[in-house]
Amino acid sequence: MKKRLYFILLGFLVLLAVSPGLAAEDVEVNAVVSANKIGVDDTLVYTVTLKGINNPTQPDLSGFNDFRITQTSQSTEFRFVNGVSSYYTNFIYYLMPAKTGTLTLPPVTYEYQGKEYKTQTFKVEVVQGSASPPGQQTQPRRRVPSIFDDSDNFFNSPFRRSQPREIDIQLKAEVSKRKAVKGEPLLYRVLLYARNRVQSVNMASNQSFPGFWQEWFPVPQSINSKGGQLDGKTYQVYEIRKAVLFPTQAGSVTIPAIKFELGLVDDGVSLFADPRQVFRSTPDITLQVAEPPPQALGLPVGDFTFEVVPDKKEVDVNDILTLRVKVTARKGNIKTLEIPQFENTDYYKIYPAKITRDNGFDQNTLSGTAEAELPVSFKKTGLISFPALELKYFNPDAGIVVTHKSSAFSIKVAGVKEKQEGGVTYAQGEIIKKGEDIDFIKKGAIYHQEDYYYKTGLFNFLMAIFFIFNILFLLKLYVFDRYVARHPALLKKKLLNRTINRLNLVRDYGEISPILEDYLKEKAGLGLSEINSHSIEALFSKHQVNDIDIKIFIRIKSASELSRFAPQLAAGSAGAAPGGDTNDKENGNTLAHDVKQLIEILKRIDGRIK
Amino acid sequence: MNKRFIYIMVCLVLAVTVTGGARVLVAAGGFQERFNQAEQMYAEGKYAGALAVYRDIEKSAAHWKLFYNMGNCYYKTGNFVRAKIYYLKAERLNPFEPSIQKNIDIVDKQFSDKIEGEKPDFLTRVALHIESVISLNVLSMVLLLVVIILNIFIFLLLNKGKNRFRLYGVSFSLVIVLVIGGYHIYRTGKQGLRNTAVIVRADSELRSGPGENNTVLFKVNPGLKVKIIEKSRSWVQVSASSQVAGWVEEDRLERI
Repeated sequence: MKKRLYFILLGFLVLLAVSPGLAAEDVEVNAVVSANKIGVDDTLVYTVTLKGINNPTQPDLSGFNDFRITQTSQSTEFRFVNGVSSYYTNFIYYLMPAKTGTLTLPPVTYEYQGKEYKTQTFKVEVVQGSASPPGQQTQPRRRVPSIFDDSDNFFNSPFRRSQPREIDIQLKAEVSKRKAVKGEPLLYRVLLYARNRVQSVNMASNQSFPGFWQEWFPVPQSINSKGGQLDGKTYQVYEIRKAVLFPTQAGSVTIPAIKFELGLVDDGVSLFADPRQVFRSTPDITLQVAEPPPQALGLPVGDFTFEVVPDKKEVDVNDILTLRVKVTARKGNIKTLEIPQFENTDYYKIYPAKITRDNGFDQNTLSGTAEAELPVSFKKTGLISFPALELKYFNPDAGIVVTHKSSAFSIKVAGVKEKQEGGVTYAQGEIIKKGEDIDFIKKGAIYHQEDYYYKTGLFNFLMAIFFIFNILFLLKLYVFDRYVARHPALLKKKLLNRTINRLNLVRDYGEISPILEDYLKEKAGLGLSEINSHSIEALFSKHQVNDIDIKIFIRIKSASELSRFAPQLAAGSAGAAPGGDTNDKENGNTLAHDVKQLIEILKRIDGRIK
Repeated sequence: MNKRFIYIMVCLVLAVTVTGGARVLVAAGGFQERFNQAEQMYAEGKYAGALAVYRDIEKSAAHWKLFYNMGNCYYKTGNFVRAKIYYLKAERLNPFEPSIQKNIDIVDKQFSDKIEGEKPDFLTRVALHIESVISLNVLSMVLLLVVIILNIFIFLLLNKGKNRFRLYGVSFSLVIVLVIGGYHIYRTGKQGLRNTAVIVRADSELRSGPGENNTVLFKVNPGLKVKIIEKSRSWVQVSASSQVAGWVEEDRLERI
């Protein structure tokens, strides 16, 4: 009995081991061409069929040097043969020959699960012009690929042969609900009704809707169409854009029109011609948006789940634990959702979270996840508990406030808490991952610390300027003042200049005399008591100063003394001076005139008096 | 000379001096954005990517935070020798930052050579403290300012004549200029010295003299921090501690 059971079990195990092989579908890779002879202007259709491969990648046609791929498409099908189902994927390539002659299509190699599959080689004869009889052209002529290429094949549609010359295209917009609650997700779709062949669609206006948070679905690689009726006429209907809108304000809110630029292709016109551009706009749509009920005010709107998961159950007190708070939105705006957070306690410290938010776009729904990674450091050892977190939201479909609670959990914290050296505390947000200091990086402003000011041109220029100034100062102090300035010639020159400068500053006639006395004292070495009219005349005569200059000099000096000691007599005396100008005196310019004369005389006699 | 003109000139020179210094300090320029970008990459665990960005920044900037973060990236990517080099570079620019020393201790655990480096004496520590408080740029600006003040006093002395205040002003500011100028020269000289290095090549030997013919005294491993004492052709005399010193080829080490 035991032996029999053993054999049954063994047989069962062998069957289990072999069954995947039996169950595994045969994999085949084949290729076919639409013709063996084509014209250089014709298109050859090359189809690679993969059997038994789910989600296959595109075969590599890089070895097709004699042909240019103008268009590709892909189709899948199930076939049932004798009760066995097979899964086929067709990759269809439209090829244009590059030259005439007998051209070779090399085998295509396809690798699947480590095994290589090869198609056969084809030889195609390419002749001048077109090899197809009129009306039997091979697949599409050269035209610009469009996002509508993978649609329900426009070429097989009933509109192809009856392509209207006039433009018959309309844009419609639909929204999933006309009455909504603030924050509730609404599906907004833009539909294109076309009886012309459309090659391109571009949004020509701003897609921002005031009063809504919007999440646009990605623009699809290909757009499927279906037949539709509008005003009693049949159209091809394309869903060209869609978005999920979240109303952000209550009341009557309008989704404004969006303008699109459409590129149309006429069958009757040259295939190389540029598409005709037409513009169409969606109609405005007005919604009634209500505030959520009072108990739901401020809560997120939609349908959410959430969980809190620690990365380990036991941790050393000096280690960092990471808590992952993950919120999943089956419906709702994950971008604006506030993720529940833990609060710091005496047992642990929560650092700022690293938060990631991702949207998921399904057929007609927007889902999403938000994940917060919270680094936690512990202050104490033992079994440390974390409380349950709570997420409240308003479910608009059920009209109720839903509360989700995570489970409370405990972490076993062991070890001895190390004292931080120097009381170093790291800025919040610097903790990136658990671990030692090697995991922390430094944030904040940086600059070039080795861009030294003393190396700049400005610094060196200023220092050089001041250095030169200091050198000049020292030269003046120790060379010029000591040796140059004391030279007799310079001293004399200096005396004359000083006297002239003093005379120029005279404001009263009486000031002239002391200046002249100082001059004569220094120039001729006369004592103050020796300076009188006679001694001056004798001195000047001795040095061949002319008589007129002597007389004027003495007259001005005498007048100055008179003005100094007897001001009331000064004018009369000055007026009696020889050589005086009566008109000037009358004009009150005696002082300036006499000073000028005196300066002229000094300049003349200064060189003569030794 | 007109008083107002003198005041304007003095203010102008002061403004030029200060703005010139500030330009150096505030020249963060375009690397801040890339620095933040690298931080994000580091946060995502893309250490090699973050390192590439930091290395790009390093071409135009040197800051202790940059070198610290580069040290972390090298550590994370398993290049411990380079990690140590960059921690030491960070330490050179900010000698008393405790987190740098901590990371040096962590990376040192990866090296086989456990040589206790020489501890700086009291005066050296004081000098290092002063250096960390007064940066070279601040010192340059202060020097320029006291030179300007000295020259203002000289100018007044020449223009207005001697008096006690001006004479004391010139004398005092001259002494300050000489003291700060001397310290500035010391600091700039030290700046160009760069006498710290790390052994980077395996099987390195410290010899008794410069040249292959000299006796091998010690075998040292990559990651060892040494102080360069002297240079002779392609050989340098280094010391790792008071007991470990010798001559090694210069290309076996990298200066900090």
